[in-house]
Amino acid sequence: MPKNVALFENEGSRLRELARDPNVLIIFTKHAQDRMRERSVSRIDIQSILKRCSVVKFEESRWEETWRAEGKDRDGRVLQVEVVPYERELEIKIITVITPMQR
Amino acid sequence: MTRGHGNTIRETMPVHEEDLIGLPYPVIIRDAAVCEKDADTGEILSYAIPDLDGFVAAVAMVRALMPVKLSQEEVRFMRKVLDLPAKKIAEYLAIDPSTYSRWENGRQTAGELVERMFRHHVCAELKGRVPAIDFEPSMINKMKIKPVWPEGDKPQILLTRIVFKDGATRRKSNQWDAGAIAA
Repeated sequence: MPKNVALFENEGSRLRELARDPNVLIIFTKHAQDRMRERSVSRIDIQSILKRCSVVKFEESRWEETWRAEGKDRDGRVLQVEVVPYERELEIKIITVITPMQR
Repeated sequence: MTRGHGNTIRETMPVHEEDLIGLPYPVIIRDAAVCEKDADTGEILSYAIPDLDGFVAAVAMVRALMPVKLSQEEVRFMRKVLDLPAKKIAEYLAIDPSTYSRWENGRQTAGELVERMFRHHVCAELKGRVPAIDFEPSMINKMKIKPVWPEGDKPQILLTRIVFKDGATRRKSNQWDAGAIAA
């Protein structure tokens, strides 16, 4: 688990709760889908990771906050997923998917 | 058409070929998948499938009820829909984890009894997530499983959203249901 995970414990807990909500809508950007095809990552893998993730990075841009979530899929593969959480609307936008070798 | 985030609009797609759930063939979604477009240019920026959990559960159930031997990719897909590690599935099937691993990796095929048990487990576990799809254990018991698809064929799975009325509670909800399926 990353060393700075405690810094974003609150965000991690909120993201896991959002991902576990049965009414959540997970929106995948075209860019994220392209990366997923390249890396053989499925929508199920992303959803599974988000339900158990830690948030390891937080960025605030002019328009939106992006959180980087890290977790393992059901095959034990570690992936990072950059997301924009919309807690009020019960939505999560997947911006991109990063494999550890890219770090 | 509804507003999305920022300067975007959302539209329900009449037909969407879904190829990002880990299966080696696309699943057709009719009148349910959503795309988000730039409101000015019309460029598609993102896609979403409502009730993703229910959708993948419906795909897994529909395939588990088709009487053709499961491929390694389909077995792995179903395990992931169940959200279980390989070891847990091996435990349920009372087989050695390495045997299950060889099944999922395509180095060994499962015996018919094990495959029927796997299909039963998948459908029993997922039935609650897809109430609109009919399932009785006898459907699998009576199934005559063919070894392969006829040459050139592949599974055709078509799903759509319906308003489902629960017989016990009388409550209505949007659920996934199977459309015309051709084997």
